[in-house]
Amino acid sequence: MRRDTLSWRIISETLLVLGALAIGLVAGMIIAYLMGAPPLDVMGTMLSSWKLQPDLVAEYTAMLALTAASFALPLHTGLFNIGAEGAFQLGALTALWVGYASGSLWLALLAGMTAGALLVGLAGALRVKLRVNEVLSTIMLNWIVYWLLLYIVITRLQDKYYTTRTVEVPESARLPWISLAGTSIPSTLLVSVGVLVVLWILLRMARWGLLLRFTGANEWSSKTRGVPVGLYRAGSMALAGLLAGLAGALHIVGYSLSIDVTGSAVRNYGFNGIGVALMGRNDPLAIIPAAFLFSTLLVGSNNVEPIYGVPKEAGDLIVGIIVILLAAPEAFRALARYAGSWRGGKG
Amino acid sequence: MPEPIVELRGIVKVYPDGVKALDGVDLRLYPGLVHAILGENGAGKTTLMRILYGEIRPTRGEIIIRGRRVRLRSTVDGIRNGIAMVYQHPRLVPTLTVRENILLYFHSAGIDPGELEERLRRAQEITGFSAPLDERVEDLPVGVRQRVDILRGIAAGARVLILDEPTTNLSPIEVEGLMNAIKGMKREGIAIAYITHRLPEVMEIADTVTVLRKGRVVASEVDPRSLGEEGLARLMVGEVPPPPPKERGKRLGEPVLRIHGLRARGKIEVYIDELVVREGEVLGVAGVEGNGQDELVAAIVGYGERLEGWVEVLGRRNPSPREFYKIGGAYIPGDRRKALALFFSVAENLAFLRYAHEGPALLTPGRLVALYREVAEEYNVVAGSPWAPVRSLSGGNQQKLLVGSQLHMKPRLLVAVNPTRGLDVATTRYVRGLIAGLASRGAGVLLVSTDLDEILEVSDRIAVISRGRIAGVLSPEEATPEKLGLLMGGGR
Repeated sequence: MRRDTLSWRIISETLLVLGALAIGLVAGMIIAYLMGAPPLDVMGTMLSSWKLQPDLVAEYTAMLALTAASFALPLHTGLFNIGAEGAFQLGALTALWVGYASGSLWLALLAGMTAGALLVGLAGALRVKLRVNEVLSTIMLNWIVYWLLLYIVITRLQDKYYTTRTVEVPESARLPWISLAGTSIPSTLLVSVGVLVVLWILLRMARWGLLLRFTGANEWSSKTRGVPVGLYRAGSMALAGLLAGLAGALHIVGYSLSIDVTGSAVRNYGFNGIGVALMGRNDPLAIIPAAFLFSTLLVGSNNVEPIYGVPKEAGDLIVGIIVILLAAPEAFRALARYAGSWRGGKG
Repeated sequence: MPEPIVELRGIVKVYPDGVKALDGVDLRLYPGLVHAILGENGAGKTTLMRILYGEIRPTRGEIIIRGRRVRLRSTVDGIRNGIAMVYQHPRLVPTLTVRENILLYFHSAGIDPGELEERLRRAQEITGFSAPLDERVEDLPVGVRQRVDILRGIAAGARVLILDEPTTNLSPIEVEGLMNAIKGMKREGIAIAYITHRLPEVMEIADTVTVLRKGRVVASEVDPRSLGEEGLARLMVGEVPPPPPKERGKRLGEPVLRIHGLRARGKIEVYIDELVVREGEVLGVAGVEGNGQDELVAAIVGYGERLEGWVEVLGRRNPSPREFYKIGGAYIPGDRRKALALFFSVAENLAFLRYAHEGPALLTPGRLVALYREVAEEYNVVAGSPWAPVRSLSGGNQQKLLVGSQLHMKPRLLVAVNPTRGLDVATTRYVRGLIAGLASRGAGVLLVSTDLDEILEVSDRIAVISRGRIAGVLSPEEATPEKLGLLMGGGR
């Protein structure tokens, strides 16, 4: 059989994904069984959460798709962005602050994107100019944002009456919800999917994307062809921060409207995005269904505990197994590309 | 003929990806005889020898050593059966010293380290080679590494030595040393398998020849001298296209490349006082690898450091790489694997090499396929599909893709480095024809090559580079291999 045709690759990749999913579901059912819950019912509950809570699954999908893109884009140039977490939180914080102060939806979104872009772009610039490991710098930036957020939430933005949360963005700075098939979901999903489609076109159909992907695939060749490798790398990081910052801002203006004083409303979207990106093979279009699957499982796992009386961790465990199985092949490729990014000289 | 020391019977090798590399090959190696294994790239020569060395296992077939059927599970088995293999790129640990590498090998061979001095002295007597025992391998030139590789095999008592394209990275003087060593080993009764696709070497050194084509034996144990180079070439490729006729007395135009007082640094420092390439000519730069060619090319294309002086490409002083291509430059790097993104598709690689400096903002699949069709048709690129990963292409097709991407730019200056390295006879002729044709249509070509035949065949003028300097510029008439060899070796 010919193994190098496009259709063969698509078929084999699809089979790989379906196979991993099947193994993951079976493994999940075994865990449910071991915990004394009915396996088929548990899995049914986890996979049907989008019917029970479509708005929540839609919001998770929208957020995770963007943070996944934030991880995937720099990886195409050979860089590991762990900073989507911080960029998401910073985007949410600035959007809330600016939205609250100005009452403008556009300003809130713009502020969130800018903050995210500056944060992760800084890590990108440090990597390119001074060879500072971007994994370490983004992790450190994440912690800076973590504490900054708690500090500002408590000292500047706490609501006078609802003291467990911040003030809410005013009506004028909110993103309306949309009706879809008899239910109502946040329109953040539309924005997110739209952004990912545009990103896919840029990566796969534009010269810009081809050059960007080549900086990760072959740095030497890029340099000899006059491609500014450092600029592409730092730029991809800034753009990645922008995407995660946009997600955080959207989450505020389109869903949560405020941040609770513990900050839990804006946490873990960035980290979960890494798993989603790997499940989606770093391809913006494939990331969308991956984000939907992940969100469905994540929301569904929360229902497993109240319904079947098994610990919440059982649900998390099942999600973890499925994600690892689906993400593993790409994770290996990602590590190989990352190692390659240090081999060339500067940048 | 004496009794064979090694006999391979009916060797079949099917790789996991379904490629049938060998299809029932028989081969015998005799003590004291040089058995050349001749074939084009992809004929299965190296695969066959890796099987004999124990590095890979045959799908079917028998290996008989000194009359006993053996099963080689690893190279350690190969070494302990008295077989040594010298690869094109010597497999030594670069961070260890020569002594440590030899001891490591002795360990595999099960030899007492205490015997090192005595065994090495004996191996040096046989081969005429010496080895700098306490130097680290990474500090040694490729030619010396190869000597170390041969020495340790002989010191470990190998009775069969496999040499895989041993002259690829050697200067003419080093080749002579190798030939003398081979004669010494023959006198000792060591059987030598000499893998090559170079006919003159076969004529010089081989006692008998087996020719492989596409995984099958097309001629077994023939006498090279009775067949002659032409006869062997016919066996190897099936048919031999004639070399392209060379135009003489062309009218040369304006300079497309001028170099003045250029000082550049990379692995070594390079100083080029004056060098000019004009429209319509091929200037060959001959030299042994590592004498400043990389630094010179990097300074011309603009991705290397220029410390002093200038490079003028089509009237532009010291262009950046992007400017270099924009004003009409093109560049074929010496190592196609370094130029291509092997896991990306053929179409994407082509579009990148063609459009990286400048091109349409949208590169839709339709546009990529159209470009691929155009280039594939014009430059004979054979790929399963434009979306196949470029690594699935043969070396020849990868090279034609690389060359095609550059010629498609319609360059006025082409910088080509070893454009036919590792290619078979037919593809080599084809690529050289393309380069000569470009010059005859009025472009200037700087051809940097370590292959003297290539330089002599294509160049209108020949510059010899040695230790980072231009040692001389000759016309093809003056440039005898002896004279070039002298200049390359630093003589006058």
